[in-house]
Order: sequence, then C-alpha cells, then structure tokens
Amino acid sequence: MATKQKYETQPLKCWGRAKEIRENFYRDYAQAHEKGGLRWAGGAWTFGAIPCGLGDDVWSITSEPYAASIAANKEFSMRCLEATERAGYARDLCSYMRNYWGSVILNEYLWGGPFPKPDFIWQDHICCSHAKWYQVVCDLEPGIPQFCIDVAV
Amino acid sequence: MLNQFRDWERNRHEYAKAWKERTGGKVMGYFCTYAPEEILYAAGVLPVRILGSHEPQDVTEPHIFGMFCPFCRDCLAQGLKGRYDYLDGIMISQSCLHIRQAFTSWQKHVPVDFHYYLCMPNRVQSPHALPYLAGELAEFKTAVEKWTGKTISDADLDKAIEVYNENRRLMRAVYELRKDDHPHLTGEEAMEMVIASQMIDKAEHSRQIKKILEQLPSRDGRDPGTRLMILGSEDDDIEFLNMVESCGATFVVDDHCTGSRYFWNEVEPSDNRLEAIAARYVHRVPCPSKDWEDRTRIDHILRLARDWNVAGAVVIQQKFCDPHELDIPAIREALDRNGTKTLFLEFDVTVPIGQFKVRVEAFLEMIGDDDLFD
Repeated sequence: MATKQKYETQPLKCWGRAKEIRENFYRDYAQAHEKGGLRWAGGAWTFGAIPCGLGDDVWSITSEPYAASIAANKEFSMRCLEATERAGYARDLCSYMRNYWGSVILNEYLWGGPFPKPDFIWQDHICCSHAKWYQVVCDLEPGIPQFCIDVAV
Repeated sequence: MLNQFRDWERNRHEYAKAWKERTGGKVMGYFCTYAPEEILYAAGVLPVRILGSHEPQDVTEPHIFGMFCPFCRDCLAQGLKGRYDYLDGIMISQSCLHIRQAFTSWQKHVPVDFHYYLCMPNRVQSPHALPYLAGELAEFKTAVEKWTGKTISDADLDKAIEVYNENRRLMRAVYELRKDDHPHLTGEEAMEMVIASQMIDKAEHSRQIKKILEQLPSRDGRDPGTRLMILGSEDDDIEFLNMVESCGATFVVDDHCTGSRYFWNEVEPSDNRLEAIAARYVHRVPCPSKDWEDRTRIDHILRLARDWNVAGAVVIQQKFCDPHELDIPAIREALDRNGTKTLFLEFDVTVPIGQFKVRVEAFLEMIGDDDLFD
C-alpha cells in the first residue's frame, strides 16, 4: 500500500507584503482626488492599458477583486448583500456585483470612509452581466460617464 | 377562429416534419430571436425556434450548469430527448451565455449537418454594430449557400424581407385590436399566434392572420376586467396566461421575445439588403442582454403601457436570467412612477399555478382597490 509523502510547507513570506500592496492599491483609489488625480471603475479584465495612458495619477478600482475583498469580511459582506436585496436586486445574481453594489448603497468603503464615487466607468462586457453591472452603478450613482467594450464571449 | 394557431403551437414538430416532406426543404432550429431568419427563408430553409416543453427533466445536468436559466436547460433537453430529430441545422445569434451553452451542448451531443454561431454584437448602441453585423451576415449567407447548394439572389432576399415584414405588419394589426375597450382576443391567444409564427412558414402564417383579421372585429369583445401587461424573460407559459385571464383580467399587451419584441420592427428595404437586415436586428426593441449602456427598452415599455391603457404589469423572470434581473428593478420603478403597479414572479420550467393564482388575485384586488370589508 502506497504511503502518502508529506512535504514541508511554510506560509508565504511575501504574504504580509502582498496585503500591504493591496491596501495601498485601494487607498490610492480612494485618495485619488486628494492627489489631484482621477478614479475609474471597471472589471479586472478591462483593457486597463488605455486609461493608464491618461497618466500616473489615474487609479482604478477593479470591481471583482474589490468585491472579493469584501467577501473576506463576513459581517460587512452580509450587510452589503442585504442592502442589495433590499434595493430589489435578485439574490441569484453574481455575488461580486451584489457585494460591490451593497458597498455603494451603504456608502461604506471597505477600507473606511464613504464609497469613493468613480469619475468614469471603463468596462468590458465579458459576460451577460458586466456592462449591466455598471448600468446599475449608474442608477445608484447617477452622472458617471460610462463606456463599455463589447466582448461577445 | 384562432384554433389554427393553437394547433400549430401545440403540434410544432408535426408541422415541421410535414413541411419537410412536402417541400423537400431543410429545417433550421434557432435559439434566439436575433437569428436573421430572412436569410434562411431566402434560401428556402424553414427557420424553427427551439423552445422548451415545460416538463421536469433530468437529462441536461451533465451538460449545463444548474444555475443557468431553466429555459436554456429545457431547450437543450428537447434536443437530447430527440424531439427535434428532423432538424438539418442549428444556429444561434450571440445573445446570452445561457442559451449559448444550450446551443454548444446541442452542437456536441445532438449532431446535425450544419451548425452556425453568428457573432451578433451585444453593444448594439455602438455605431460600429451595424457595419460589423452586416459583415457577419455576409459570411452567414455564404455559409448557408454552401450548405443548401442554393445561391441566394437579391430577388430571394427581397421576397423574404417582404414576407417577414408583412407578417410583422399583420401581427401589429392584431395587437392594435387589443387596444379596444373590449379586446377581441386574449393574451393567451395572442401569445399562441406569436409562438406559432416562430415555427410556421411565415407566408402561411400571414394568410391565416389575414383571415382572422377579417373575422375578429365581428367577434364579441371581451370584458377585460383588469387590463394587464406582461413582460420579462422568455415566456411561453401559456398555462400561466390562461390562469391569470380566468381571474378577471386580460393581458392586452406584452414585452416578450415570444410576443411583441419578436415582430415589432420591420426591415427598411434598401439596395444593400444585408445592411438593411442588419439594421433591423441592431435597432429592434432590444433584449436586455443588448440594452446598454442606455436602457432604451424602458421608454418602449412605458409607451406600450400608456397606449394599451394598462392598469398593471406582471413582470416575470426566468430564474437565473441575469440580463432581465439586472433590468427589472429599474423597469418596476419606472412603471410605478408612471402609476402602473407591478407584480413580480420568478418562473421555472414548471410554475406553481396554485401559489401564483393567490398572488395574482391579491394583485388584482390591490389594483382594483377593492374594499375587503364591504
């Protein structure tokens, strides 16, 4: 009978640094206006290279990872999901969207303070929900210019 | 008077088989109403929409996610059960991922001679959508010609466009009759007419509409009770419409792809036939999967509610239908702002008629403002 080989493991030494970089990423987004810059919102799969061309003081909130970060905070995630359902959105919609919208509806940012409203939306329609996700964001936060690229997956 | 449409709708497979035997032509199953049927018709092909059967089934689980909408699973089940065994080809115009999964699973597990994925843009509001789709239609036309061995001439396209446009005009005329204070047909009958039109040779369907358009005005109008609209995801649940219309209400208009959205817009003929057809599909009343960045469909829905003098709207959604779920809160808010109350119901392959009846009756009481203690 084969015996199971055990390999020694250890926590990633870079894990703490990775979390620090992540926090800086979301803080940069929130503080963009204080630095004289702009904020844009869109999915993680969006062609980020294009807004990058606007300059180094333009920061994005990549919506799926932001929603996944919310999910790690069970108490806040629950409040986000409940706020979204209360606003009439179906509970079987993707939970990335529901966490994200909940954060907007509650006007609470995961890293503290009010939700930082984006200056523009730049999104890829990589599934049936992606462009519609930000259509709802525009319902919740009116007046944001929105541009979505068709990617008929 | 309207029995022929009901017969076609219920005996869709028998019709297609008989048509094939009679004409020797090919039959193409299509999965979404963005399929450019005019091109198929011009090639002498009968386009038949693939719909479900509303029976519980256990054949699709290995092929399609359980959290995909029940409609797409019901469609695939029909293929896996061999109910469309007369099809020579299948096609889809890109619409939503769920129905596309039904198409690709069918492609893999229910072989047919010809299958085609037409890359229909989703961002139809883009100025590039029209030339892009016209190019895709040119490729589709070439593929259909190769498959059928028939060259599709301009004259063939002109004839097909006119046959389809005539059917659309006739269906609009039927819907006009539903504006009457005493509508001459029910929502159930109207839905049967539209669904039948998605499976029957359009010229034959139009001949039948012409006959009933002569007879309908002399048919006794119906006391409509509460005038309702129905809208939302794909819906061919005729049993549900029948139940609602037996509770003192009448569906006088709809916004469904098995209803008005299917025939509302015509092709505006032009010298560039494919561009004209493309324009029709780009500019038609959109499915929510294509209605972005602006929500253009809401104004259309509000116009229907106003013009057909609607008192309330039943907003239905196939469970897990993301595009509709993403529009429904905005639609309900817009209708509510305009004084049209809404009832939201989530549909599955089968619907709980008893439970829904209780909710529908409560909704009708609310609209009627009946005093429960009179």
